[in-house]
Amino acid sequence: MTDKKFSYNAAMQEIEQILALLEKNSLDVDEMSQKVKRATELLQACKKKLYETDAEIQAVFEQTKI
Amino acid sequence: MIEPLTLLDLNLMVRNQLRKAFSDTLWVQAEISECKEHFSGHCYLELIQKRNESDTICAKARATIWGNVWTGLKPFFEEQTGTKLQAGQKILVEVSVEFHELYGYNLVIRSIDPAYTVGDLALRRNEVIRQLTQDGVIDLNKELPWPLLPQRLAIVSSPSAAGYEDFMDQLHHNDYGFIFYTAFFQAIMQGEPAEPSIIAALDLILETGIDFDAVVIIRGGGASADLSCFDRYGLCYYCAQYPIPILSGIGHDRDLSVLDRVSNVSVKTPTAAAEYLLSNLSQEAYRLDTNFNRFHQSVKTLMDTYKQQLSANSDHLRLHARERIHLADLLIERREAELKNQSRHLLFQKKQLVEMHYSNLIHRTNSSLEQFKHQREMMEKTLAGFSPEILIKRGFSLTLHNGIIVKSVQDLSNGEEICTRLSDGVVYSTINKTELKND
Repeated sequence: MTDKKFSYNAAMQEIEQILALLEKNSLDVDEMSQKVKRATELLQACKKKLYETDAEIQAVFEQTKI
Repeated sequence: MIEPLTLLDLNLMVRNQLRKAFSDTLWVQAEISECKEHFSGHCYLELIQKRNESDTICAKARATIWGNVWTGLKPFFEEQTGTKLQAGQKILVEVSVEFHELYGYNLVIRSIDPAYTVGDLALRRNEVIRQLTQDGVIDLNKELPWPLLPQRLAIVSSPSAAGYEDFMDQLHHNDYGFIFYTAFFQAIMQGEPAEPSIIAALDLILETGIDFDAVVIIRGGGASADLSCFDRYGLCYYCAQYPIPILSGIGHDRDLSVLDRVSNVSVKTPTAAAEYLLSNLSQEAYRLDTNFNRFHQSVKTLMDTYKQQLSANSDHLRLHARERIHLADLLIERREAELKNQSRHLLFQKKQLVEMHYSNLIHRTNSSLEQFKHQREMMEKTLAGFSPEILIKRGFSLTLHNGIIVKSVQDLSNGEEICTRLSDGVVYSTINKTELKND
């Protein structure tokens, strides 16, 4: 299952860590740009998990119908 | 000898005696060992009593609930107890003792006190819970972490149940647009066969190897259905140890079943189960949205700060650069002045040196000239000593022949006249003889 690689919980934790850093303003500009990029990716991945169908998982579930 | 009685006579006598002895109805507590509903509408039971602390039967009696009584009694009992009348149950019944000459001893049930059965069921539930606790398994499923996003779900239910349809509809057509993946595992959800059927479905879920987030056990339908299967030790023992968190929504209004007790999460109905799952996701969606907003806000704040810093820095830089350029200008001017001074000084020194050399040269030339002059004078004086006049004065004389100084006797011949100059006059002589020196 593809999304086994993606842990929503871990992603959320990372997002919250990055947020804490951003809000503390304890990053330099280079770090900030990296972290912002990372957080954006993670937020998108989390959103995707909630709202977008993963065809691969769907297929696995279709097979199990009795 | 007295004429022996016929069996019929005897049975009729027994019947009469019993009718006399048990003219009123009686309340009896007993356990059902058999319960059969006849198509005719009557219900036939076998009642037993067991010895305390053992399974040995110490009393047994047939019992009947006539159709006219059963029609009212059945729904009342089921509604009150949440279970059907069935073997294994303890009941408190109002009976009349009857004896039929053909069918023998029988208890006709007039009424049932469901509170007794409810109490007994509760006791039994408590007993199952106590046993599961003693086994150390009761909280195992509860202790599994409930997933943040229960999206991959195994549904154990009966496909015909209205509750199942509602659940699926609610889950898949939610207003938020959340995604759920559901796999259906069919099971019988009431009565005796429910226990093995649900266990088989749960086994099948594990066999798929799919990483389910949760298992949802739902049952929709009338309240009168038999729910005592969800109190069964075997099923609950299995569910308690099930490795995937269980969400139960088996539809009940009375006490919690043991399955509810061991499930990770228990709600009353399939609809409530769907609502619970949706609320899980909507909580996370809210958290996600909050984080999105926090993120945008903090990035915006940071960017503003950086812009301000940058602008302040560039102002500072400009000011600083201007200052540096000014200082550099001053330095260059100073250096220029220094250079000018130094070169002037150097030039002056050189000039002096040249002048000094020049005067030296003049001086030296002059003294050389003086020396030369002196030497010339000396030489002139010396040369003056050698002039003919001085020499003549000293006694030397000049001999001329035809005005030419005679330097050899060979230029002269006898008889020729010569002139000899002396310091105080001239002597003219004629040559008599000439001789050559013989050296």
